[in-house]
Amino acid sequence: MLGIIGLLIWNVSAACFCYYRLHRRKRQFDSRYAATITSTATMGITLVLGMHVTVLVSAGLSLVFLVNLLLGAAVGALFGSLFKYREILAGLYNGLVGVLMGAMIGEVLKNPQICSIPIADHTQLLLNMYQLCGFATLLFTVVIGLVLYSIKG
Amino acid sequence: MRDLSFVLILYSNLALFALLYVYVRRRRKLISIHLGMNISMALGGLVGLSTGIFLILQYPFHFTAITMAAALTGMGAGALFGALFDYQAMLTGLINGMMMGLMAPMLGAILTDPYFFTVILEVFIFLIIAVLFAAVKRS
Repeated sequence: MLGIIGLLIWNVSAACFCYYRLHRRKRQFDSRYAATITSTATMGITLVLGMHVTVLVSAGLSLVFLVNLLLGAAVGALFGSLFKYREILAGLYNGLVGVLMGAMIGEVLKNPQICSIPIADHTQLLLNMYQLCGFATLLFTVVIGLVLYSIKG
Repeated sequence: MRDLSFVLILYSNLALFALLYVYVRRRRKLISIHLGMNISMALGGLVGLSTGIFLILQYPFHFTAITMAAALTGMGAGALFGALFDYQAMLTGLINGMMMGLMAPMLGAILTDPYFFTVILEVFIFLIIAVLFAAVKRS
């Protein structure tokens, strides 16, 4: 589990870095560009963060979903509030969708029997978890890089 | 022949999407940016969805590898369709393909009647393609 905590710290720091860079350049976006940036960044960040948080928290299902929904709403409202009210709406919607998907992926990784995936061994379960979390972190880094690359151009 | 039926369906679907790419590429000067954004969203999601579902129905023991392959395929397809228009359409298609590709193997693993679901999915894919043809022709 220590590796997944490390990946979570990397993801949170990448999200904070993205927020900081967007906050510094927020005057130069027009409205369509702001909507695109908000929906893309929010959906990527909440998908990956929800997946990691669900894997790490070992509580009941409804408590995990409550924590994840609060996290998604907070991230969406935070990224949307860089711009106008339309972007807050888009950010909230995309954050809630992304966090629900991420929570489902995390639940399946914790307990593959609910999807009838034939993995029973504990070490194989842990290996599966590490592989998919690492892959999601890689994709997230690519998405954040593309979002930040689009600011300069 | 029966053993590889899902892979053959997937192959025909991907060939259909490649033909559709050529069609959209020929008419990309006529398509406005909002329609381009929606085209990249819908087709990136469809490519990721069909890849994930048909691969997990064919090989049910390789969940991790299939999730990675479906996410990469969806991202690549969304980015290719979006790159015909502009950078924002590329970002939208990329994130939708990634989400659909990560979700689709999970959906395929819980299915109990795969043939019925395959028929319904193909009907919806053809419906979406018909709507897309109408939208491109109207614009």
